Amino acid sequence: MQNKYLINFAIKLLLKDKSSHLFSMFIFVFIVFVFSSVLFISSSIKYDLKQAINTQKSIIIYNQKAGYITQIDDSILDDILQINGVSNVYGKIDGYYYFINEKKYLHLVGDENIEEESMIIGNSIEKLFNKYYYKEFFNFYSNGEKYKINIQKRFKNNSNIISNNIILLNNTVASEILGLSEDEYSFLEVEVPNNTEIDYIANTIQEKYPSLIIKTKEQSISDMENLFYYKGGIFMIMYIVVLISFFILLYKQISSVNSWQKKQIAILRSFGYSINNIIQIKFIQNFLVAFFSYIFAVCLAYIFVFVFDAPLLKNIFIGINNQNINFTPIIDINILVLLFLFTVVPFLLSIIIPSWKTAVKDISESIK
Amino acid sequence: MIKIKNLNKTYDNFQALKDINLHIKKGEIVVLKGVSGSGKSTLLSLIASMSKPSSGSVEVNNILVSKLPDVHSCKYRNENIGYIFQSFNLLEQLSVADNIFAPLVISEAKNKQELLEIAMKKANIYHKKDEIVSNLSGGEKQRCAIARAIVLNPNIIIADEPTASLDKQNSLKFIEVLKEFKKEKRTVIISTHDSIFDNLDLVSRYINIQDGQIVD
Amino acid sequence: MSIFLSSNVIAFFFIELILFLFAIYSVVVSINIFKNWDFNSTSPSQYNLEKKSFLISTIIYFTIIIKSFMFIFFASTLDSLASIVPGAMCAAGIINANSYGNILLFLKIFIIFIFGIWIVLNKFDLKSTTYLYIKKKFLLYIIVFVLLCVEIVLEYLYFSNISTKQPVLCCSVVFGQSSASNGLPFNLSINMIVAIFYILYSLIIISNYTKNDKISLLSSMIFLFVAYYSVTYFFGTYIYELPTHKCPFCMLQKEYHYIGYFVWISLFFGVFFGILSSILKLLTKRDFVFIYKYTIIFTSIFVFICTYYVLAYYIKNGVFL
Repeated sequence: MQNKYLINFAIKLLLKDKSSHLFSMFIFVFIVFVFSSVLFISSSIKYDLKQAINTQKSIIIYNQKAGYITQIDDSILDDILQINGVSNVYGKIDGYYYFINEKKYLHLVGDENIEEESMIIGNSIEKLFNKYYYKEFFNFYSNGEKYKINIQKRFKNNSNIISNNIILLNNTVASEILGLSEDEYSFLEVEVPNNTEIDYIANTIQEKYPSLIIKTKEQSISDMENLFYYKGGIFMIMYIVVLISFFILLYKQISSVNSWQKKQIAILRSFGYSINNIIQIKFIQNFLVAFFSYIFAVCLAYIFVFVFDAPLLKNIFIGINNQNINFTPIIDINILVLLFLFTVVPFLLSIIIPSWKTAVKDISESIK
Repeated sequence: MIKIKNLNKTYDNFQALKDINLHIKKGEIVVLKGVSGSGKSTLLSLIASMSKPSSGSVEVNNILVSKLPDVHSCKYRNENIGYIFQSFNLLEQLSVADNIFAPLVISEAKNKQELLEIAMKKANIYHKKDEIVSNLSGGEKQRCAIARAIVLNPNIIIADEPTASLDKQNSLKFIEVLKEFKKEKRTVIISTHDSIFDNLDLVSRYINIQDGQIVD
Repeated sequence: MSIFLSSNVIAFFFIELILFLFAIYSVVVSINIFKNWDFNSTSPSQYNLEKKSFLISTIIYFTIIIKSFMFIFFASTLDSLASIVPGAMCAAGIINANSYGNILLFLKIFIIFIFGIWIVLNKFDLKSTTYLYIKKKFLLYIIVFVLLCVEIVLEYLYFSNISTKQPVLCCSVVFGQSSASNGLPFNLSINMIVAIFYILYSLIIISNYTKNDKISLLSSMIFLFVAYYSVTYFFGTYIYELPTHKCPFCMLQKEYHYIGYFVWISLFFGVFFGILSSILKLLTKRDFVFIYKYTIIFTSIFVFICTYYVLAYYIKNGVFL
């Protein structure tokens, strides 16, 4: 069809005029690359956190004193078990141990399946222990007691943001190290098999114990997403400034057609290319530039984030504790569409007016 | 075939054409003579509907081309006019074939490849079809320009100073091309101040233009 | 946390604002063209207007394509917000988060519809050698611009009134049996609605086959109404394979293979072309035969998808829901 020939011709002209598009292409690739990397990192972390939250039981109960979260005792356990719809209640040990040599807090989590003198550690922890030559075991000091715990195994290679920093210990040992007494827990987990009853049960518990903090799984997910929206949103708003500058630059660049390009268009017009045809040619050329830059930048970002683990950039989202993280490759069509809308679409919008301007120039004047 | 009535064209405050009245019949070869700035090129571009008049009309084959919307005037130009420029105005970075194919891209012709070949063979430039235009000699460039002008078989050929960039030998070759056009009964309008066009038998008439007006 | 910090919402407003800026520029020029256009004039200002009309037509064309895409993006944005607005499980909850939601949705569809008419009018205007429809075309755009202003205000009001703290209703409450009254209009039963659905479909096919634009217009308009209820209360349940799940939006989600988009888009085009023949006849005093063909095609695709789910369920399970 006629369009096939026009596209072909537009591409031929484009390939002979690469230099004038190279500069804008380079900057555009960079812009899309940075933005996609940020989106990939953010969605990957979100995915990991969501996975972690999903393994949680339906309702978590915290105790609080003067607004701070504090240990909860098991006196209410039986009470909660009585509530219709609750299948089980677990007391969890979870806290932070201050490692004085490194001036760091280590995340300890109790697990009933681990032997008393063993622990399982994450990547970051392993590196930390190696630094102090703790290759086979580690000594925890708490309440005047020394606890020598053997390193049973490490988490598998791809450690995500959760597993990276964790030390899994036997429940009793963890409880002792963290200074909890026998009947105390860091928080309680309530198992509710029927999803539709969760909110009702959470409300019941809250009414009974107004001073406790009750969090459902849904709320945790929502809280987490809110945090991400906040960070992601701020970043995007700032990025708009970058985008607008680029598009103004693009507009100026395309407007300032040199005399050779003006002549080229006048020549085409002289044997019957209409204003619409010229605009179509400019559009096809710029669409191809924008689209291939987009694809190229997204692929680069993918490699940067999921193969090289985004050096430098990941610090926007992750603290120093998590330097050894591997990002879980997550590509969502929503991200790709968002990227396309945020970058390629404004690119194309910014070339409409300059393309039209060059197309309507007086033929006889430009052709001289 | 071409009827021009009371044609005026003003650029800013300069009046390039004043009250032009002209009638060119089908198959005529007309030479416009006049110094630079006399309005020849302006008149040609108005006939080709490349610009619009300030007043008056241009009618070609009973179509009022001076009032056509852009889409239609471009279609008219594509199908009916073959334009040959002074400095050929080829797309230097493209090949000969691509240059000649350019008008075919937007045309509604069905047999584009065929038309391309015919034009290249007729203009004797087929053997150079894949050559980049910037590597061609002056004569070859002209043949390429001619091929491009005739690729869609237009019935009007407009040549604006066609021999200005050519040596004597190639200029004479152009006269041969003119003879071909006459045989094919195409209407040709040439604007020139090259003396080789003076007193040619095949030219139907000479029109002198001075200060935007036709003088006898 | 403000809803405006959601990445989808930011991207959405970014593009909508750029488009609106272009729309303002276009309407200024459109008014100029509408007031001063004189085809018979040969003055430089008239030639300038002719050149400008190309720019505006290109901008409007672009706007239409992007707006259509943005509408789908709007639907998926609402879906994505379902995870941060308490109580919402799909776009249905989000749309009903405040009173602006439904009006905004219908306005968006209406604007796309009018733009569709503009595209067809533009096509015929370009075909004529005397710019036959140019004034009508730009007058239509001026009317659309007013709608665009309302739209952007509504968008702001709608999004700024979505609370991330207050729970919203989910589709089972909005559409379902837990609501006190029967959701269907005129107290019709579901069977009656479906019967009317197929009767109207037949009427649309016949009227378009016989090129009767007035019957096509009437039947298409009623069909839009009936189809909405049929899909929500009947066909949708076969897509979800759950008799109590009545929601026009959940079918847009991944788990149903995004079939919702196909359903609603084919309905939109079917109704659009069904109504277009009459409107174009009014505007241009000419009959356009190809429109009838498209009406038949798109309406049939829509009915086919709906019927397929019902039949597939029956064939698989041996019973109806």
